[in-house]
Amino acid sequence: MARIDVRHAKGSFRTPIVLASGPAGFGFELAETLDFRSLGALTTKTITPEPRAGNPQPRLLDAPGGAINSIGLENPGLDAFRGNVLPRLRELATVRIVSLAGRTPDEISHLAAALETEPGVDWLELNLSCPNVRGETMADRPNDVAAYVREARSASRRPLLVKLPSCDNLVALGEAALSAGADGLTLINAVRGLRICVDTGRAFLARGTGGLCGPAILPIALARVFEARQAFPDTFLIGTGGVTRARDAIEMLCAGANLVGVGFGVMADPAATFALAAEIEQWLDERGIGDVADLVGAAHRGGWSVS
Amino acid sequence: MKADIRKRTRTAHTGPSFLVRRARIIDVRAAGGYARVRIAIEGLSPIPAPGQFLMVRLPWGPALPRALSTLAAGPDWVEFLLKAEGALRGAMASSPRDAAVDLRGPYGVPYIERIDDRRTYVLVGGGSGVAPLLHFAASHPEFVERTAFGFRSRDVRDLLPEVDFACEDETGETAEDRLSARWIEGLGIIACGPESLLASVARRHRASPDAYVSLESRLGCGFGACLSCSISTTSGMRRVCVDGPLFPCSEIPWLG
Ligand SMILES: Cc1cc2nc3c(=O)[nH]c(=O)nc-3n(C[C@H](O)[C@H](O)[C@H](O)COP(=O)(O)OP(=O)(O)OC[C@H]3O[C@@H](n4cnc5c(N)ncnc54)[C@H](O)[C@@H]3O)c2cc1C
Ligand SMILES: Cc1cc2nc3c(=O)[nH]c(=O)nc-3n(C[C@H](O)[C@H](O)[C@H](O)COP(=O)(O)O)c2cc1C
Repeated sequence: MARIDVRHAKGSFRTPIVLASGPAGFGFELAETLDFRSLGALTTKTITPEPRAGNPQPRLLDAPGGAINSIGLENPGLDAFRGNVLPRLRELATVRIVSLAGRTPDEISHLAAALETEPGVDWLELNLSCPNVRGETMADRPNDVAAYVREARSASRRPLLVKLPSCDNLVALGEAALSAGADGLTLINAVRGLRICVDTGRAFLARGTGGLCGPAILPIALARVFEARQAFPDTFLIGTGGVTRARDAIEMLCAGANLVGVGFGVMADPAATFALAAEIEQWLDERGIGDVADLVGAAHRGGWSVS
Repeated sequence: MKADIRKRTRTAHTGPSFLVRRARIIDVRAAGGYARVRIAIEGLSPIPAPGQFLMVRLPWGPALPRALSTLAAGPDWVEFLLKAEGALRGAMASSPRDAAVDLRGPYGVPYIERIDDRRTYVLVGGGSGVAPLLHFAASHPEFVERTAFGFRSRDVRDLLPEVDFACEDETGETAEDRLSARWIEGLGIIACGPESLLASVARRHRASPDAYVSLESRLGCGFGACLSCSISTTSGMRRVCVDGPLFPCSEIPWLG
């Protein structure tokens, strides 16, 4: 049987499949019946210092091969997260990555410090790439990224991931995050998208644009993960975007991801997401590949020879 | 016995409701811009209760599943009433017999667990909103005092021959007109249908403690995780999929 666990100096993951931030909420509904031991980790819905209601309705829309969402970080805020969510989160049988966002580096520092002594927070993920909140947490300059990451790094000793958008200065942003102390990168967030109602000529979503997710963005995410792996040969990467099937996850691993995030797939077919790890294991066994780690970055090494 | 189930806020999810099941369309009848679709599905468990919905996807249709309330359901079949437009419903309304369809659920709080069972109700429905109300009336006739249903086209009679409803193209009468004519003090209201209908119910009956509307929202997951469908209520943000779809008008002051 092939190994499908993923090792990292700061913690290990039972499988390469991670629930991406957002669509799985805090995992509670899924945990009522699905087995979290088939996951490597759960990433929580992004938490902000104060509770947020998110954007007005409608905030989800169909798009060919996926969906566009403009949820806008609805979340219970730090206090309710600590009081009501964390106690239940501790009971989940998987690694917990807590996603954080703030309007300023100070807010990030406040969040990270507040969670520092809480059990049940295994990793932190800074969401610096939400396409659905105006003028904040969309750090698109290396200096801004560095400022956020420095604050988180000095407030917390926990392993720290930084979630970046699909953008042309991705390598510069990644470089800034890693130099400021990030332990890894999560790529990518949903890609800005728009649909217009042909009956009214107006945008469908109340906010106008939203973030495109689902199979439609798989090639975009693969290209970004490939680019990042090329630039950062030894960096820990979570590749997220458009993965709904085991073969998509395998492509993501070959592009250079150590772990594979699934967002849209959880909304569309939650049980199928929880079956991905077993399917990857079977795929490896069928080919006599002994360790999922052997796939990571295979596309950079010319793949493997086919007999 | 009845008191036990009063105003419970949510039902427990059971294992099978996360599983996507491949089912088969066994009958499609379309008329007047609507379609009545019967689907065979093995081992549907639990059987959807009135007010609950399934997340529905066609193998060749949109990647995101859609919420559809049951018109009726048994252990190995469900029936939907659809407006025959839009990516999923349009395709279902014109799909051949034996076509494959993927379902998961049921989700949502059954109406019976949300309403006050010391009252009887007038059911107010417009268009496809009539579906969960007919399911409710068939399962809980003791709570139904009268109905006020309406469709645009008389042709829908072919789909619902046994149902009494107003047809706008016959007499100009709407579900709203019927409600005005049939409502009497002391009755509760359960309404489902287009937002304009729900808004008018909310405007006129907000003060009544037992006026409920079944809300529509764009659902993502259907089971309460993704927050696509959240709405604001007097007691904070609520999810249409797991806290609803039925809400008392008094809790949603923005409607109407
Ligand atoms: C709990 C619940 C229960 C429900 N039960 C039922 C039910 O029993 N029966 C029922 O019929 N519906 C029901 N609905 C509504 C249904 O789920 C939604 O309307 C769903 O989005 C329909 O999906 P669709 O693919 O058919 O339409 P979509 O393709 O999502 O389109 C929705 C509407 O937008 C229009 N539209 C789409 N794209 C465009 C465009 N580019 N320009 C202009 N207009 C456009 C369509 O014509 C349609 O009117 C329910 C909803 C909820 C939340
Ligand atoms: C409904 C929804 C909510 C999301 N919420 C968040 C969030 O709170 N924080 C975040 O970092 N990403 C969020 N995302 C983005 C996903 O984590 C993921 O990066 C993106 O959707 C691409 O992956 P996918 O194609 O697998 O969905 C959300 C996505 C969706 C669809």
